[in-house]
Amino acid sequence: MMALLAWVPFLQPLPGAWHNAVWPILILPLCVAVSVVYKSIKCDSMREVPRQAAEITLWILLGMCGAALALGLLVKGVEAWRG
Amino acid sequence: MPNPQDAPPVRHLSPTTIAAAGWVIPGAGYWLLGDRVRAVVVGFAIIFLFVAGLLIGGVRVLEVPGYGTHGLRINAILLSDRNNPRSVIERDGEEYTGEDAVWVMRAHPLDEIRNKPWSIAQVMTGPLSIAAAYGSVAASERPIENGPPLGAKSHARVNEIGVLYTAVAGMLNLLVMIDAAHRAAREPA
Repeated sequence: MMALLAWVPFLQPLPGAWHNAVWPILILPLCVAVSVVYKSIKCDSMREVPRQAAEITLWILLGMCGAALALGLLVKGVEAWRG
Repeated sequence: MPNPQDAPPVRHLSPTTIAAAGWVIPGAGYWLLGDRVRAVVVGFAIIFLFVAGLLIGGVRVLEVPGYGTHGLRINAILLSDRNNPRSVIERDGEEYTGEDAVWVMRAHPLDEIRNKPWSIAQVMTGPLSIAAAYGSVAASERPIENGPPLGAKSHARVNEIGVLYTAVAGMLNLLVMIDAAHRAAREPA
């Protein structure tokens, strides 16, 4: 809490963002922004963008979780194989 | 329901002008084409991403070509090789000053930009990134000689995420500029 109060935005990095419980959450705004821009380019009508962007955000997150799971299992497998 | 005749008249601009406007202000290309909702949504998303990157990693996530870790110009200097006096070797660094020193962006700009490849993506966000790069150089300077710089440099994941956000913002703006220019080219004159 004290680190957050002492934080000077822009001059110092976000305190605590390095923590394993925090940094994976930072993928959310990135996914949302990429989805919104991508769907704004693709869709003819801007009315379709919110629903389609939400859908593609979900797919990106599921893909990321899937890739993390697959890589985690691969590492576990290699560790078990090497003893 | 709004009458289409009430909409502001759309001027027909060249794709190059549309792309240039999109670089100056993200989304401005769509705005000039009369697609204002798309312009605002896209512009807000790109600027949000860029500013969020600076908030996460600090302004020093932007590595500015030609400037070193202490906000000074990186100079190139030719030194004679002790082991082989007939040959000369080049050294780059902030510490090299004097008449023989040449700013690295004059001596070999492409090599310097290649050393900081993320700057290419980041500069695609437009003047906002140039202003932030100026801030990065200013934050790298040391107010007291040999003291700490004004701004702290982030490391590890925080730095990676900050660089990723700012670079993705620039790449998305490039995508938007290309799309807006393409739409301008398709429009009947």
